[in-house]
Order: sequence, then C-alpha cells, then structure tokens
Amino acid sequence: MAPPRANFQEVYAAGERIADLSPSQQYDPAGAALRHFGAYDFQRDKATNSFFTAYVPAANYAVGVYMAAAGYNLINTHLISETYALRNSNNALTYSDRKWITRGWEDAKAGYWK
Amino acid sequence: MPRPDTGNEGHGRRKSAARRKLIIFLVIGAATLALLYLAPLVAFALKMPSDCFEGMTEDTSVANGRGDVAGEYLEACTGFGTVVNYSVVLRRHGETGAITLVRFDEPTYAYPRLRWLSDDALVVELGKVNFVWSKRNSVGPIRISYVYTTASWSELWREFKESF
Repeated sequence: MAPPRANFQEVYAAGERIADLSPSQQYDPAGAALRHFGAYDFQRDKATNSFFTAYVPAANYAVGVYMAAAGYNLINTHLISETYALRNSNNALTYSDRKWITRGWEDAKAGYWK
Repeated sequence: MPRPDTGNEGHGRRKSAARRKLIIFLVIGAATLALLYLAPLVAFALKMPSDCFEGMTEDTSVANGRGDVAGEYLEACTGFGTVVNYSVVLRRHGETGAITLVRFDEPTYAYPRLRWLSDDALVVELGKVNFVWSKRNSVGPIRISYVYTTASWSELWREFKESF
C-alpha cells in the first residue's frame, strides 16, 4: 500500500540523476531524497507530523527503485541498507522491509518506473 | 637413530615458508579488496542522515481504572530504508517515563492488542511474531501475560531467502 502522493517514476528519475556522480557526490542528494521527511519518505506526512506504519513498505520500495535507477546492484543496495539498519536498530531490517527493497529494485530494473 | 641430512629438509622448510608468505599475501590482498569494495557502501550508509520517530501509537493504548496506560511503542528510523523497533510499554499513573514490557519483531497486521482484565492484570496479544525478547511479567503489582506464537526456524529461513 502506498500513499496517494507516491510517484515511483519520480523516484526512478531522481535515482537516475545521481547515477553518473561519484559515490561521495551521491550521499547528499540520496540523503535528501530518502531521509526522514525526505522527498520520498512516504510513511510520513510533514504537514501533520504523522507517521503511518502502513506506508513503511512503500518507503522501502522507493529505496529499491531509487538505488536501481542510480545503478546499484541488489547486493550493494542490501549491504547499504543492512549497514544502516544495524547502526540504527537493535535488530537488522525485518524480512518484510528487506523484501520491499528487493521488490522495488526488481520492478525498477524490469522497467516499470521508467 | 638420527636421520641423515639429505638436503630435502632445508628445501621443504623453504617451500613451507614460501607457502606461508603466499597465504598471508592472499589474505591481506583479499581483505584489502574487500575493504576497498565495502568502504564506499558503508560510507553511503553512515552518511545517510538518520532521524527517528518515537512514540506510543494511540490506537493500541489502553488505560486501567487507576490511569496506568499500556500501548505499542514505535521507534522508526529513516535514512536508507526504514527500520522500526517495536515494543509494548507501560506508563504508570503519575509517572512520566514508560517501562518497556516486551520487544518484538515483525508484527502481525492489527496487532498488538492489549486489554486490562483488572487494574493489576494486563494481557498483551502479539499475534504471530518472528522474535520476542526483553519480556517482563510484572511491574509492581501489575501482572502481565502474553499471547503469541513465534515463527519456526524453517519459516524464518524461507522468509529470509524470499526477501533477497
């Protein structure tokens, strides 16, 4: 389930924009896109400062779409996400979180969001 | 009886020293390559700004007659993907801090469900979860009972494989 404002073609286009940058140049735009209240943080509504657990899969799916468009393979995408999770959580990503990142990456690679 | 020195021992020692050096070289080389490969990825993860939302979800919280409130507590951190730490907490009447009753992973839809049987008896239903830890069975006079099932190792392994 994704919120009405979720536009994965836009997420894909944003990922493509960082594809040719060096890794160190990618950090800032990726952070702005994926961070808390970032452009594609679909589980939060900035206007009401609300968090919707039902939209967590959509936000993780967006990570997969973004990274596929940025040219990252699935293993590297998971390496980054697991490192992030271990830094910020007392457990690794849950299976469903990981699954939605994978699904977003696969759908983007299949060309659904071009 | 002492063995005659045939000259092979010195040769063997040199061979094993060379083999040891080759192994060390290969291990250091592999570690260096792994570091070079992983460093930008780890840096990517560490450079992601991380902020967390924390709070008790209102739709699960229940109060007893004394004003003690129990509810699901979420800590959701977003930076590169979202990781959510799930727990159930109890805030006793008149106290500001909350006590963690249980932490769990991967909740079932529409769970947890909490209900007070009396002012001193709380039931926490978690549904089917993957892991449960830090479980408290009492807080002061309040007894807490839990209803849940955990996924089997084969189910966890199947989910793990399917998630990649």
